[in-house]
Amino acid sequence: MRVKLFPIVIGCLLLALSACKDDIPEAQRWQVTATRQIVDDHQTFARLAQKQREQAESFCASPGAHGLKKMQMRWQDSMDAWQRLQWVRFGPITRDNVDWKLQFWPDKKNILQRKVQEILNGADPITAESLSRASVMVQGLSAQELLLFDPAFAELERFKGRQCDLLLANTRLTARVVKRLAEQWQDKDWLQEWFHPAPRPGVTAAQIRNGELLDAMLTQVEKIKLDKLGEPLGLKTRDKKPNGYFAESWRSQHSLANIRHNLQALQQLASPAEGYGLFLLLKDKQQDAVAEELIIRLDNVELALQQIQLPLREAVADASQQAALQASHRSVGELASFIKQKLAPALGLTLGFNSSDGD
Amino acid sequence: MRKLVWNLALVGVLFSSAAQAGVTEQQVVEQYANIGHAVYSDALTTAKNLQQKIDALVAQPSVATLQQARDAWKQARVPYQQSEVFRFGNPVVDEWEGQLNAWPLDEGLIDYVDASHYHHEMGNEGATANIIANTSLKIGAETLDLRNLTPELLASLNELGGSEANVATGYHAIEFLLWGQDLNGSGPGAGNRPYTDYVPGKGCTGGNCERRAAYLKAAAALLVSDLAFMEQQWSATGKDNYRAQLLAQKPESAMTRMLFGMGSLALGELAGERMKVALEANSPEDEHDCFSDNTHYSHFYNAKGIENIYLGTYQRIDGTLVKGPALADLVAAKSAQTDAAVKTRFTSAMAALQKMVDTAETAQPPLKFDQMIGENNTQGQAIVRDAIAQLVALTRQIEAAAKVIGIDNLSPDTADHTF
Repeated sequence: MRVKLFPIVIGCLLLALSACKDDIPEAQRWQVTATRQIVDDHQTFARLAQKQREQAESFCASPGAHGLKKMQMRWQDSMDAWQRLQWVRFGPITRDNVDWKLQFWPDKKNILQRKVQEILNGADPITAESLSRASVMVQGLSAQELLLFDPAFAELERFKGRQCDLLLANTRLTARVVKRLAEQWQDKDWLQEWFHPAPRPGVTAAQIRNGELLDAMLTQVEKIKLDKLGEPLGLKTRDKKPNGYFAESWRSQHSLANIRHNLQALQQLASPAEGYGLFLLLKDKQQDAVAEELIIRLDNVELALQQIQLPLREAVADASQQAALQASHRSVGELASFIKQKLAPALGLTLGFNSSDGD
Repeated sequence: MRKLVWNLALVGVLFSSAAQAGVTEQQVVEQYANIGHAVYSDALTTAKNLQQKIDALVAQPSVATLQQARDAWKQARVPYQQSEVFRFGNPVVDEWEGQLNAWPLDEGLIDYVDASHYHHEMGNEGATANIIANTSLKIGAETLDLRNLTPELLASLNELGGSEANVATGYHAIEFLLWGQDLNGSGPGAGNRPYTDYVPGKGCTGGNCERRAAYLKAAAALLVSDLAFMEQQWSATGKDNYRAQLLAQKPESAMTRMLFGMGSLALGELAGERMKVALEANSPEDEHDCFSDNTHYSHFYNAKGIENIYLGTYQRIDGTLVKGPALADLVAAKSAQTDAAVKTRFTSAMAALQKMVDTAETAQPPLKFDQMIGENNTQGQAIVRDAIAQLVALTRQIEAAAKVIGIDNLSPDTADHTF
C-alpha cells in the first residue's frame, strides 16, 4: 500500500514542479528510487518505534521475564530499522540533532550509565517532556539498550520503580521523534527542495543530489571501516590493541547486525527490487564493469562479515576470529576505495576529501 | 583590553588590504608560513616561561608560585590555540600535535584521582595506573620501569596499553598537575590542587611529592623541546624543513591546506568536538580545558587563529603585528562582496566567542564553559549554541570564498558532525 502510493506522490510532485510526465530525466531516476527507499524506511522505523512504545506500556504494567524478552526483541527491530537509515546524512535528520536524540555513540567513558543512574536516583517525575530537555545521551536507542540489556539494569525488580518511568518516557519520546522525522520526509515542500536544489554554475540539480547520495553512502562505509570495526579492533591506536567496549551496541551483542543492516540499505540503493538503482544507472552510462564491481564489492563485505562467529565485542579479543575480522575490515576498505576511485568518476561526480583520506 | 587590541588589528588589516591590492598567491602562502613561524615562536617562548615558573614552584612550593605557574600555563595557551589552525592540512603538525594537546585524558594514569568523580574509558588498563605513585607498572605481559621520570619515558607512555585516553604529556597533563581534577561537575569552580602537593618531605599532600615534581618538570621540558622542533619547521632560515616543502608546492595546493585547516578547525573540531558534543550531552567530561576551566579562552583563540589566516595577520605576544599579503586580498580582488561577507562572518563569530569569554570572566558571578553546558542552563547553552551556529555559518562562507579563488575541492573535516 505504502509502496504503491509513493510513486504517485512523487509523480504528482514532479508534475507540479516541472514539465515531467512519465519521462523522469535519466540522471534523476536513481534519486527517485533512493528517495522512495528513504521514505519507506522512515515509515518502517516509525511503525516499529510505536510498537516498541506500546510494548513498553504493557511490560511496565506488569514487568515479567517474557515481557522483558519481548522488549529486547522490539529494541532489536527498532535498532535494525535505524541502522538501515543511518547512511542518510541530509535532510530532516540534520535538524535539531535528531540523530543524536535517536542514538548517541560512541560513549567511550560510559557517561551514559552515570547520566541514567543520576535520573533514577533523582526525585523529579520522569516524562517524555523532561527527557526531551535532558542530555541527548539518555534519549533514544543507546539509553534503551542500557536499560534492557546491561546486567546492572536489566533485572525485573528494577523495572518496578523509576526505571520503568524512564523506559516509558524514552520509548514515548523516541516514537514521537521518529514519527516527526518520517512526516518531514513526506512533506511536499521538503521533497520539492530535495528534488530541486538551488543550482550551482556548471552543475545540474540531479548531479548535486546524486553527489549528495553518493557522499552519504561513502560516509557510511567509512564509518563502518573506521568506527564500527576500526575502533574495537584498536586500529586507531599506536599499539593496535582491541577494545570490545568500543563496538557499537556491545551491550546487546548487536554490533554486527547493525553493520549488516547498514550494508543492506546500500545494497538496495545499488540494486532495488523495483525501481532504478545505481547498477542500472551505471549500465545506462555504459559503465558495465563498474556496475558489476559495485555488486561484487558489496557482496564481498557481506560474505566477509558472515565469517565472524562471535559477537564483535568478544571476537576482537579472540585469536580464532582475527582472520575474519581483518578480512571484513579489508573488504570495507576496498568498498570505500572503489566508491571514491571508480564509482564516483564513472558517474561524473567529484567527492570532497575528509579526515579519513589517507588512513 | 584584548578587545581593544583586536579593533586595532582590524584597522591595520583594512589598511593593508587597500595597500596590497594585486598580491600573488605565492606571497599569500609565504605570509601563511610567516604567521606559522611567529605563532610557534610565541608558543615556544611562553612554554619556556611556563617551564621557569614550574621550576620555581618545585623549588619553593607556595600559593604564590603555584598561581604564577597556572598564570603562565594560561598565557602559553594564547599562542598555542592560535596555532591549531595549522594542524589540519599540514601533516607535520597533525602527526606531532597529539603529544602536546591530546584530550580528553584519563588522568588517573598520571596521579591520584577521586574515584567518585572519575569517569575513564571502558577497558583502559592504564586508567588508574598512577605513574606518580608507582615506580613500575605491569601492563599486559610487560612490566615498565618508571623509576626515572624523563621526558622520553613520558612520551613513550602516551597511548599506553592501546588507549588514546592515556595521555601522559602535553598541555592537558600539565594542566592536571597544576589544577587537579575539577570535582564541581557543572557547578562553579575549577580544579583545586593544593601547592602542598609539591612540598617535599613532611608537608607533602597527595603522596609522592618529589615524583610529582619530577613528572611536572619532565612534561614541561618535553613541551619546550616539541615546540622548538615545530618552530624550526616553519623557520625561514631552516633548510629542508616543512616551510621549504610548503613553499615549493604549487600555490593552489598550499592554499587548499590553508583553507582546509581553517574550515576543519572551525567546523569539525571547534564547533563539533569541542562544543557540540559537550553541549548536547551536557557532559563536562568533554570540556576541552576541564581542569583549569580556561576553555572559553581556548575556544576564543582557536577562532582567532582562523581569522589570522584569512586576514594575513597575527598579533604577537610582545604586541607587534605580523601582517602581509592575505587570502582576503585574493578574495577581494575577485569579489569584494564575498570578501566583505567573510569579514562580516568573522566579526559575528568573534563576537559570539567574545561573549563566551566575557560571561566566563565577569566578576559577578562568572559562568564558565562547564556551567554553560549544564542541563537547564538556558542562558549558558544559548551562548554556546550561538558560537556553534556562527562557526558553522563562517565555515560555509569560507567555502564560498575558497571557490571564488579557484579552490573547488574543499570539504572541511566535519569530524562526522552534521549541523
